[in-house]
Amino acid sequence: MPEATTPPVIDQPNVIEVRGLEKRFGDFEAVRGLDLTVRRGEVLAILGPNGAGKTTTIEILEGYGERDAGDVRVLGVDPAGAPRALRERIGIVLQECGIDRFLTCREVLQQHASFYPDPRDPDELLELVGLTEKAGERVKRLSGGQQRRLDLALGMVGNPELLFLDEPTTGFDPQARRQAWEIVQALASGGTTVLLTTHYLEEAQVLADRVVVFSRGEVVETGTPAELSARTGVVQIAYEPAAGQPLPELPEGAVLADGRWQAEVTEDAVTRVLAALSGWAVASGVELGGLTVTRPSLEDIYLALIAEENEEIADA
Amino acid sequence: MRELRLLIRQIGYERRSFFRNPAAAGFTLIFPVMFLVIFGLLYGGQTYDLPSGKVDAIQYQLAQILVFSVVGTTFVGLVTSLAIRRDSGELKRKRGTPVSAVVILGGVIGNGVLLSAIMSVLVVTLSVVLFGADLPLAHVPALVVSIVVGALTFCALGCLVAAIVPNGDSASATANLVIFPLYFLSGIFIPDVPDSIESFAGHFPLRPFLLSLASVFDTKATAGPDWGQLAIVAVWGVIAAALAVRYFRWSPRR
Repeated sequence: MPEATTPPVIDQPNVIEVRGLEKRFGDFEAVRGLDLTVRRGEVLAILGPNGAGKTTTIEILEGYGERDAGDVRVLGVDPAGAPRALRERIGIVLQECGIDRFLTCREVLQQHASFYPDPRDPDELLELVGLTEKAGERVKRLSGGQQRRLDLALGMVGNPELLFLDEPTTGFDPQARRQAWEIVQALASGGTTVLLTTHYLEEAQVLADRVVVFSRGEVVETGTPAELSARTGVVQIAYEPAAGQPLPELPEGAVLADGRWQAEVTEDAVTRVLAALSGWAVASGVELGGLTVTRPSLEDIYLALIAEENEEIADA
Repeated sequence: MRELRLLIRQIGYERRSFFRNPAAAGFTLIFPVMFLVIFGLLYGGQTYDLPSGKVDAIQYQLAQILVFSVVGTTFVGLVTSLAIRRDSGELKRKRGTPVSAVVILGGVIGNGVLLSAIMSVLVVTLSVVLFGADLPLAHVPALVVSIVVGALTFCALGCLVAAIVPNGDSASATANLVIFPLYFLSGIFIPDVPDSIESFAGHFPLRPFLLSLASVFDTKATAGPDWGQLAIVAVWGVIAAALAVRYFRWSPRR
């Protein structure tokens, strides 16, 4: 019999398309008219505070959740009711999700591999997530971080075109997090599309081609991490003057705080201000100790965005 | 064909997982054996009145203990393990893979039937060896059919109650709250139950299951196994299965 369950891979530019998605739980509007597009081969990170609708949205895309309104296409099909043909092509890493605790890592991976038409090799995956030494160990004996790495391997075992990662590195130590990032980067460079939610802005900055910020069930910002950083247009120039040193006048709005001379300037003024500062320093015979030029991190921007959003809501 | 292969594989994983869980395996396997030994010592050498005449008490106790071990393995076991695995997200995770619901639940149910069979062999063998029980060879097929039908029915009921209980914490208590009154009313622990209660209990699946097994071990009976009682058990199973399909939940309540 031909493989009737595997549809032909149609080369659509967009792997996920969402228009006007709405979902409410009782009186609570979890998702309010949300639009989202994920292109083939990109890593898209969804950022947002708790209750912003990240998990609700991702679970609708995975086929777990029902929606109240809106048009949703995942790999060209409606995920509602989780059609099997779709489940064969996606991988899901849920938040906090149980595994049969009495099976070993290898057994669980072999079991899940048997569910897919074209699975990856369980031992190769164990190697990839750094669990080769734990292959014969029962899941109940793994640490939290090790279980999460097994989650990641289980998400990849079906060789998915599209991988959903809902807060994949929560509970990881910094080294394990970096390892997980490398795995996701390797997958992405192999052409897998990745949609991830995260609380760690550094994670979004490292992994994501594009970032979408959710707040109260809506998209409030979209762009590459660099675009988002540039959008505020503020660059900070700072150094630590030695005690008793004269201070430069330039530019306006410069302040002395925490023993550092700090000035916030616009992107197009950076070169001019730096030239003036160093010119003054040379003329005055002053060393600019600990000089830094800092663009805001994604975290700063994110926090500013969310604060702005909250103010708007308070004003309304 | 692929589904069948997956199902058999899944039953294998369930069985492996079950025997590695000391709490589940110990409780399920040791309890019926303990009851068998206690009943055997208490009532050894006594006789019991069946409609067909007097039989050794062990012949009836065997039926009681088989009911108890099948129901414990299937109904109580499934309600508890399915609710806990739903809470942990294990069921939700599997539901996100291409595997069908039939294979996931079929694995759990298949394991329940398999364990019931193992328990039955153990209990019957011990009864024969320790207490001189008698199983006519001609009744063996009827015993096998009764155990399989009973195990399937109580698995279906387990899936249904698992669908209704809110979470894993309340699962074991709910299962026992449902089943213990029925054990007593159906005469699983007490041999003599008033007729009015017997006929009331006869509407539920436990008493018919007991009567059907009792007929298998009734060495005096000429009519053979009581298929009518087993049919009542099967009807309960079909209804429970239909409702379980309708109401089963894979994700924890949010």
